[in-house]
Parts: sequence; structure tokens; C-alpha cells
Amino acid sequence: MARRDSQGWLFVLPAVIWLLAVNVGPAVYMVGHSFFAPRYSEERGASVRRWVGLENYRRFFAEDQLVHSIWFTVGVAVVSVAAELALGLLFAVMAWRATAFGIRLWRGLFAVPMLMAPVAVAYLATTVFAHEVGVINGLLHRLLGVPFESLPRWRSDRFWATLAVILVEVWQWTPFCFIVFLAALAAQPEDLREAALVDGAGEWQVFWHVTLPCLRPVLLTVLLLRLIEALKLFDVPYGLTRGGPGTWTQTYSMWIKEVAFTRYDMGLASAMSTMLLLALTALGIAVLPLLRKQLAISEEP
Amino acid sequence: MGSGARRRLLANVFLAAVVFIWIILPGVWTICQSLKEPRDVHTLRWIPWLEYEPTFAAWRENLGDPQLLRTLGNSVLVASATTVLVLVVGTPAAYGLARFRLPPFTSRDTLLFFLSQRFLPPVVVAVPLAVAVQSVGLYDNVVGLIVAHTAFFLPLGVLIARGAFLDIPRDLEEAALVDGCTRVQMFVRVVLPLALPGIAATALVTFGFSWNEFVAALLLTQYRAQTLPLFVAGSEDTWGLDMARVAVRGLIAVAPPLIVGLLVQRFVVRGLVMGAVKG
Repeated sequence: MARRDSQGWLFVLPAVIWLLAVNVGPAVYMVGHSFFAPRYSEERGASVRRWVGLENYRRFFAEDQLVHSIWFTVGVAVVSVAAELALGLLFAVMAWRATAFGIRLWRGLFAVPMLMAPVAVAYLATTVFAHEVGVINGLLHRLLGVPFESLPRWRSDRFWATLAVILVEVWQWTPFCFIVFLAALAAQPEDLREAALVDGAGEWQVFWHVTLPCLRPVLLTVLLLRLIEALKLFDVPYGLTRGGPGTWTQTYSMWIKEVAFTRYDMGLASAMSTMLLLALTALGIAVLPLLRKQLAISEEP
Repeated sequence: MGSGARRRLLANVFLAAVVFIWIILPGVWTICQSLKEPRDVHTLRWIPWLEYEPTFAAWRENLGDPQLLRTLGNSVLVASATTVLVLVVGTPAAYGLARFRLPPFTSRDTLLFFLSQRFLPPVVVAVPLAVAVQSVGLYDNVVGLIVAHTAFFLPLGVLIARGAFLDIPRDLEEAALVDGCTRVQMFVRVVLPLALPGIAATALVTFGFSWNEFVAALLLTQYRAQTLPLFVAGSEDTWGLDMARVAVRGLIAVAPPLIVGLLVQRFVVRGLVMGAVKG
């Protein structure tokens, strides 16, 4: 089979071309565009592009709310992904020892959040987080007797609005971690565990020294996948908080859209896109050894 | 193993409690909200008939809304077309990656190209795409959205399908070639049928992701080509957010992937796990 290997390109090329044309092309265009600004040209009677160097980048850093969105986006991503991994692992370990029927049942029920459209989840969550009349505040008031004045203000307080975004993210994506971890646990070689148990290790020791190290590659992959997705966060704050209070929960991706289509400032939007691409490329290069190792496990033709 | 049984029971009780709080409670609450009149929406009442008089007004209002039918139709069209395109373009690519060395690169490096696409933020691609589709007259047209969605979800589809092809023994393919099949015949008649479960998983996951996608739909459409997530996002009117309306629209938007996902759980889980772990 190895003789006619370049034939493989016949199979792969259409997909590569599609991705280059629709994904890579526009992204590269944005990078190039970030060094230009429009200017009205008298002779042509239309606006033309003018080279402005790093001016668009300078304008980004001059605007505090844009710089804030970097910290907000990264912070929300780190906190929510950490919580998703921890909870997903806890639930998976719990479900792992269940019967086959139990596993199917828990997995099926837990799959619900991640099958839902994130923006729909965000809009539905508005009634859960509403002040005084939402489910959470209602229960806090009724069951715990928290007075109305001191109930969390999910929409108008910076801290609580941030927490609401994180909670919705964690609600939706913990199940993804759960399902992948559960599959990885089920695929683990049982004899290794049994050998450790026979040698007199306690359940907890076995989990810590045998099960968890076996899960490491899967944990790292899920961490990476979730982190990438969380850094692109858009739908949830869009539906839940509208980026408010003020622009506090406006994520970086939401700003790119707003700058491009509300301010019609393509130069600034391209500069922001370029910086996001640079950051994600850096992340990609940092995890390249991990990815290569992961791929080496699966078969190489 | 008395203690083992007890521990299993405890774990199951714990999971039942988690599922109740995490899934059942919000689900029931949303359904309750959808049956409320405006004056009941801002109350903590749960049980219809007992605590409040249920009304189907919000359901009637939204099911009779022509924009619902339009967005529903667009969602079906966009997600189906995206799925077909991802399968037509993606499964051969997955096969090529699983079976060929692809000089001058290695197939692993080519695979890394596909993986790298998952780093691309949708908004970075969708902003220039929106400008591009405007200039070619495809703004607010499902075709533009389908082209974008196919590019967005092709990498994941290729990964899942590649996993399915890797599981097929090569001897079968060689036997087919020895028996006089051409490569294309062998791919269509021998490999594809064997990879069918993996391809079904690819199709379901792609359909779900395309159905739920919001950023590109927001930037590439305005009215005629809007999909269901945008119908949900358009729940706001001059009076603010009508909670019953949000509940009804949200439920309609999430129902199809939920029902399909729960009916064929095995394939969906397989697809998601493969896309995560083998990638």
C-alpha cells in the first residue's frame, strides 16, 4: 500500500482546500488588515486603505475596557475549566462503578446540557438568575431566609454577574468532561488495579497512584479542548448578561464583533483578531509536544 | 462484598441527587415558566393548576409565529446541508489521513493542520466572512452560512471519522484490491459500510454543532436566513425579556438535538469521546 502514497492527497485535498479558503483565508486577511485604516480619497471619491503600522494596536491598549476583556475572558476560562474538570472527574469516578444500566442512565441524563444551544442555555438561565424572582434567589430567600436586600444581584453586580457566567459555563460543559472521563475510566486495564489491590494498596491509594496517572493524557486533552473553547466564549454572556453591568462581562470575542459591526472599526477589530490568533498560536505551539505524543499513540500509517 | 454494594448504592444516590439538581430541576422550571401568564412569570410557583393557572398562550403565540417556521426550516436546512458536506468532503479526508503517508508531509503533520483549525475562534473568521458574503451577495443567505459551518465543523468530523477508519483491519481492504476492486470502489463498497457506526457518529455530532452554532449565524444572517438560536436571541421586545416566550423558544430550539441525542446516545457519545480523545 505504501507505494502509491501520494494518491492519499486525492482524498485529503478537498477538505484542505475548503479549510484554507473559508477558515485560514479570512483569518490571514484580518491579520493583514490590522495594519491599515480607511481614508477618504478625493481623486477616487471613495475610501481607500492606508498603511498605519501599529496604530490599531496602540488604540486597543489605549482603551481600558478592551484590555479588561482580556483578563475577564482568561479568568472566566481558567476558573470554569478548572471547575468543569474537577466536577467531571468526581462524577465520572462515582458513576464508573455503577452497573451497565446505571452508566447508560447517568450518561444519558448528563448529556442533556451539552446538546443544547449555548445561546438558548444563556437565555433560559436569565430566569434562574433573575433578582428576587429567579430560582436561585427565590430559594435563598425562602429556604435560607436571606433578606431581599442582601440577595446576590446577578445582573447588576460585577462579581455576581461574573459568577453567573461561570456557573452557566460549568453547568453546560461539566457533562462533557464527565462523559469523556467515564469512557476513559471504562477503557482502563482492570488487571493493573487488581494487581495493586492484591498487593495490599487501599482503594484511595490505587486511585491516586494507578487510576489517575492512567487518566493523565485524557485529562490533559480535555483540559486543552475546554480551554480553547472557553477562550472563545461568546454566546453565554451575550444571552445572559449582555456583557453587563456596563461592559464588565463583555468577552474578547464579543468585543471583536461589536467593534467590527457596531463601531464599524475594522482596523481595530482586525488588530484584536490578530492578537487573539497570536495568543492561540502560542498556546498551540506550547502544547504541540503533547498533541504529537497523543497522536503517536494512535496508529501512524 | 457487602461494603462494595453499599458504596455503589451511595454513589448512585449521590449521582441521582446531582442529576436532580443539575438537570431535572432546571428542566421542570423551564417547562413551568413556559406555561405561565406574564403576572405569574415573576413568581417562584412551580406546580400548574395548583399554584397558578397554566396558559398555553406563549406556546400558541410562538407556534403561530411565521418567523419560527422560517428559522426552524433554516436550521434544518443548514444543519442537514452542513452534515452532508462534512461527510462528503470529510470522510475521504479522514480515510486519507488514516491510510496514507501524504508526502512531502507525514499524515500526522497533515492531521495537525486539521487539529489547528480547532484553535480558530469563530468570530475571527466570521467577521471577514460577513464582509465577504456581503460583497458577493450571499449575506442573509443560507448558502453563506452552510459554507461557513462546513469549514467550522469539518476538522472535528474528520477526526471522528478517522478514528472509525483506523479501527478497520487493513487486510480486508487488501483483499478487496486483490479481488480487482479499484481504490474508489474499495472505499465505497468495503470501507464505508464497515465504518458506518463511526460515520453516523460524525453525522450526528456535526448536525448538533451546526444546529447550535450562534456566532456565524449572528454575523452572516439578518432575517431571511436566520436559524433557531437567533430566534431565541430575538425574544426581547420593548417590554424587556418575556420569560414565557424565552422558555417556549428555548425549549423548541433545544428539543431536536436533545431528542436525537438521547435516542441514539451511543453514537453521540462515541463521536464526542472520539473527537476528544483520539484528537
